[in-house]
Amino acid sequence: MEEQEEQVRTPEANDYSFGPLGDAQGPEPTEAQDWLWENIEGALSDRAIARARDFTDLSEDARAKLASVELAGTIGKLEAQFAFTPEHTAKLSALLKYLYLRRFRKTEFARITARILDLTPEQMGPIEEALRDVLEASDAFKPLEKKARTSAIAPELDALPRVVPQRFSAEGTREEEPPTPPLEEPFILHEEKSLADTANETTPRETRSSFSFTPPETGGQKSQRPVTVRIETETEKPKARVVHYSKLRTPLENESQ
Amino acid sequence: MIRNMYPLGDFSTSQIKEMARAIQDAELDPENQMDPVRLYALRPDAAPDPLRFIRSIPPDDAAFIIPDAFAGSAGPELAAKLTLPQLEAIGTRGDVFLMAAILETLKVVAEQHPENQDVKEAFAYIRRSPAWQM
Repeated sequence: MEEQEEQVRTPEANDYSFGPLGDAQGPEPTEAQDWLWENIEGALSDRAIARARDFTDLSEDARAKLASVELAGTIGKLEAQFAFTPEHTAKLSALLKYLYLRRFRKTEFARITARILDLTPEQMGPIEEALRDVLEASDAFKPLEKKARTSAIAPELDALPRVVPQRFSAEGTREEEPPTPPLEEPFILHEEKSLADTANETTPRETRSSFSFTPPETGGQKSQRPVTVRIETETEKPKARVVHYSKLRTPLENESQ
Repeated sequence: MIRNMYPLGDFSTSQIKEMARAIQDAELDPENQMDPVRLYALRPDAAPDPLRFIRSIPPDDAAFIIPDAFAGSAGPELAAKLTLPQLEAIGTRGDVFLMAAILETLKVVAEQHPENQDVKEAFAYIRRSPAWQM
């Protein structure tokens, strides 16, 4: 009897089917994993997930400050000093997080904290003093300020800038390339006005909207006159549409017979 | 589902161990062999000595541990072994699902072993850390 050689399958590059996992073995989570994820999703409300998303939008410095062991130690000292319960300590920590998440202003921190933790204004003084660094740092993470409104229409151009392609010679000096000859004109379905023609217009171009706007004067200087706004209305009455049912173009069956 | 966004998330511990063995297979082309440490850093539950390995994970890498690592009977012990610098890094990164997984498993340890000092220290840090408040 011939001995059959045992066929040994050798792995090849990028052969993901090789190995103990076999062909396309997908994940097989255990009941313990399912239980864990049920608890995770049950513990997190939609608001908590939204807060977490806002937290990750903070800068790394802000997040590091809020997670720092040093800050936790400071709050731990306050916890001991004021005999906070674990729940009160967690609330104080949460209020600091809400401050950074812009849920309220820094000027409101003392009032809100005193109300939630049932503290007097005199008790808030040492707390604010102990947390002064983290409270002051919360101002460093302001949202972006809104820029002053500027005209949405570009200023008029006297002439279009001419872009000349440049190339470098063998010596490394720049050479100006001669302009390439224009190609055969392509088929143009709709010819639009060039930018130069548009820019040289003295009157505002008619737009489809009934709102017109006079662009400010060029020269880089602010115009002292207020911007004039002119609302245009249609001068002609719309033509009334009249439908004649008596003279149909397409004869009906009765008429044709 | 949220858990689907974690690669290697739904694989069981034994599957991860098999993966680690596969990438270390001596018969593989040396170019395709990989150090399984990167795999264990994501799923420390599959490491040869999980309780010892998890403490050796650099804090910045610990922030990327997959929540499934804390499932099962070994999960609570694993969570209790996290160091304060690791918890700090996890709080800085702000993966709320990982943080919730750690909290849930720490609660189990606290119920079973209320005298565990590691758990007490972890809970003390967590309630005092604004980043860990959900």
